[in-house]
Amino acid sequence: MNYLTLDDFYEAAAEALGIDLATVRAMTNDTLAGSALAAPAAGFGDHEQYPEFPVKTAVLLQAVASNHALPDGNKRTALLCAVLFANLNGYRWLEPDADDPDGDETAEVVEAVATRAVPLAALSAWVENRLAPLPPAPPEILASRPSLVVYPAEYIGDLAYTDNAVELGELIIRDVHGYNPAGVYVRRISGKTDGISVAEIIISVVGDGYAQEELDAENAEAARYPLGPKEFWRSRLVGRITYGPDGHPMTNEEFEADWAESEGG
Amino acid sequence: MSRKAAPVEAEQEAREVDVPGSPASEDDLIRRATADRGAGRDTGRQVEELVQLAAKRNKAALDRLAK
Repeated sequence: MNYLTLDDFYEAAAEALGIDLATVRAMTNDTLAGSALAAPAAGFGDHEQYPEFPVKTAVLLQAVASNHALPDGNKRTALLCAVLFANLNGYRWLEPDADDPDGDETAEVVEAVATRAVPLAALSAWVENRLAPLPPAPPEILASRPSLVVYPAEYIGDLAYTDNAVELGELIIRDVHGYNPAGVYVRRISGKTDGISVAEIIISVVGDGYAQEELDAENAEAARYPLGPKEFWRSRLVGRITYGPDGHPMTNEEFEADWAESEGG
Repeated sequence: MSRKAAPVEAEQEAREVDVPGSPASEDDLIRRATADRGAGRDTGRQVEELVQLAAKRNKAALDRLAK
C-alpha cells in the first residue's frame, strides 16, 4: 500500500490553490495534515482498521477535507489527494457522469464530506465507483529498453496464416487480424541485459501493431540503397514473395507493373 | 507497390489514437508511479504530473468547490 506523504499533500494543495510549493509549506499545519494522511493506515499491530482500499480512500478524503490543515482550499486538496492516492495504488479515478458539465456530483459529495455529513459506508461506496483498476501492462518491447543498440528490422519473408492464427514452429499466435500473409522480420539488438537474447522476431500484420515501424525502417533502408529505392524493393520482392491467386513467386514483370501503379497513384 | 504504400495508410489510421495524453499514456504514468513508489524510488515528478492530470480532469468540480 502506497500512502501519501506530506510532500504529496503539498503538491496537491499547490495545484488546488494555484500557488507555489514554498508558500504551501509555509501555510500548512503539518501536524493536522500528517494526521489526515495517516488516517487510512489506522490500526494496531497487524490489524488494519480500514483494510479495503475504497474505504481507505474515503477515510483520506474525509480526513483531509475536514482537518483544516490549510487556511483555504482543504476540500479541493482533499479531492486531489484522493485521486492521487488512487493513482499511486494502481487505480484510475473515474469522474461520475453527473459531473458533466459543471462537476456537480463530485463537488456536492466533497462539500458534504467536509462537514462529515456523509456516513463512511456511503462515501466508501461512492469512492468505489470512482476506482477502476488498471488493465495488465502490455508486454515489454525489448527494443524500447535503454542502453541497447537497435538495428532496423530485416524483412525475412511472409507467413500465411489461417483461422486468424499464425504458427511459428510450436508457437501459435491466435486472434491475428489484418492483411494475410503476415510479414516476418528479425530485429538485431546489440548488447545484453538480464540474460535476454539479442534479437526480436517480429510477426508484422498490417493493421495490427508494428507494421508502420517496420515499414518505416524498410523505407529508410530503401532510401539509402545505392541503386535507389526501386532496385531495393525489386531485390526484396522479385522471387521472394508469393503473388497472385496461385501464390507463385513474384516475377520481374509483375514487380514493374506494381511499381508503375504505385508511382502513378 | 503494395508493400511500400498500402501499409502506411492502414497503420497511420491505427496510430492516430496513440498520442501523448491518451488513456494509454496516463495508464503508463500510473503504473510507473505505483511501481516506483512501492519500490521506494523518487516519484516527485510523477506525483506532479498525476496531480496536474487530476486537476485537469476534475476542473469543473474544483472550480465549484472554490466558490
